Amino acid sequence: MALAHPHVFIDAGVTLIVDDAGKVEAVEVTWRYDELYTLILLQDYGLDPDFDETLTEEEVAETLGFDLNWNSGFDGGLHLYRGATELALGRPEAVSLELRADGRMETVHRRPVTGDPGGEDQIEAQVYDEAFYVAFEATLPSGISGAGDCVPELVRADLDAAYERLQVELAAIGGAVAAEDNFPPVGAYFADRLVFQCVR
Amino acid sequence: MRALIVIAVVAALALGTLFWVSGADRLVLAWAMEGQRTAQTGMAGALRALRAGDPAAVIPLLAVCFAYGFFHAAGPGHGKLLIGGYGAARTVGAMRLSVVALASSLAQGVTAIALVAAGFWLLGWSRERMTDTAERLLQPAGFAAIALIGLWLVWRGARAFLAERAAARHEHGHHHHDRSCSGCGHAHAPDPAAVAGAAGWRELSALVAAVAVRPCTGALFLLVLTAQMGVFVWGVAGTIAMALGTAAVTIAVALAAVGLRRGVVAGLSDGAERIARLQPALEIGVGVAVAWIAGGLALATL
Repeated sequence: MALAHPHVFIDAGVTLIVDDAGKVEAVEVTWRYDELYTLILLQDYGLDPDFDETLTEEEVAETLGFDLNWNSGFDGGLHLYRGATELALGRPEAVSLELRADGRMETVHRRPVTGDPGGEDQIEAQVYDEAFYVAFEATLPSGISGAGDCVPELVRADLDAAYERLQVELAAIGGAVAAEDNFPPVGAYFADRLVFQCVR
Repeated sequence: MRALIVIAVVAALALGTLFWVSGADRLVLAWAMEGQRTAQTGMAGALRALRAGDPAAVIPLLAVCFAYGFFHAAGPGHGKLLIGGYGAARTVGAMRLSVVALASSLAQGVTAIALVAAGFWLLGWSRERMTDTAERLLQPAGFAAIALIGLWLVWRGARAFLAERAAARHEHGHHHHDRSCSGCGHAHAPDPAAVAGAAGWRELSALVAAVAVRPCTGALFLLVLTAQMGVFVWGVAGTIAMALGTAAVTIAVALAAVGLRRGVVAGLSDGAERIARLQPALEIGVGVAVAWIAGGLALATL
């Protein structure tokens, strides 16, 4: 989408699924939508017409996977690295969908991971929308399935540096006046990092 | 040669001001984005309460919409380019340009209201179709309109510039500062008051229309939501509140631009002749800048 700066805010979490040899074989990604976009989704999909803020089983079953038809250059936003090697991610599969009591929609999807060489190198995960239409923050619980004691370190994006680079990119396209419609692809600068030290 | 230097200096000044007033500053950006997020959450809360049948939620809804419009306009936005550029180039009163800024913000809200009302009830469009229309069709149209106004400024400036040159050739031996010449029937020299003449209502409505043609995404979100919820009237009220929030910023830009132009003109001129000479250069410089930026944007969004 060509729209300006973030219009959708999503809190994300990443859970790695690791095989016996210590290689990542799949990953589960949680997205928690902001309150306004949740409302928009509810209306778009005709959900919760009784306004009781809970979804029926039928509603969940019908809507599950609605956010997995990625297009317009968006590829799911997940980037996974073993050391310096980027791991290949397969097509997503819906896991769950829930309307939380705080009025935010939360979905989980799972993607197969291939090409993890294993070894001692740390695993690093980032979730971001390059176009920055969606602003992701990796603030939800993340971890490794079956290894509750391995909690990744959350390295927040250096917002000061990110805004500085945004400013540079804006200047390059003719200033902020130009950004309303040609927002520079700066999503990566605003991306948090999840660093898993204990996958081996 | 001197004219070229003046044009270059003025164009640089105008461009710098445009970037400055349009909030290309990092702090403003960060603040605007954070503010927008907060406003968005507040809007959702008020809408949820409204949906659940709490009429008192209208007050916070309107307040939050105003804040949303304010932060949105403080971030990147094209209304400022036009209003600021125009105020820097043309002789237009601060009051008058402020009214134009307010009118264009309101008109922009009305465009959003009309688009959603027509899309929702007449055409049965989905939200995506409506935002798509705004993006693919109205956006380039809006920028094209702004580019045209830029070209209009250039044309005006060039015409006055050429007229002045021609007059200068005719005027050997004549008294140079004869301002009454405009009353003499066949004036060769342009009357400074006419050259720098106050902007007419037609020109100003073109400004309003150029800004208004392109609705903002936040307003579309709000309007579609309230239409679906059956409280469209509050969506309309919220959109107007948003427009007022936006206007608060564009009016500030308008005042800054008018002030800047006055500063440049007052600083450089020592008489009516200078104004007559400077005004076309000012128009050409700013016109080129506005047409260049907006034209590029129109092409990029196509």
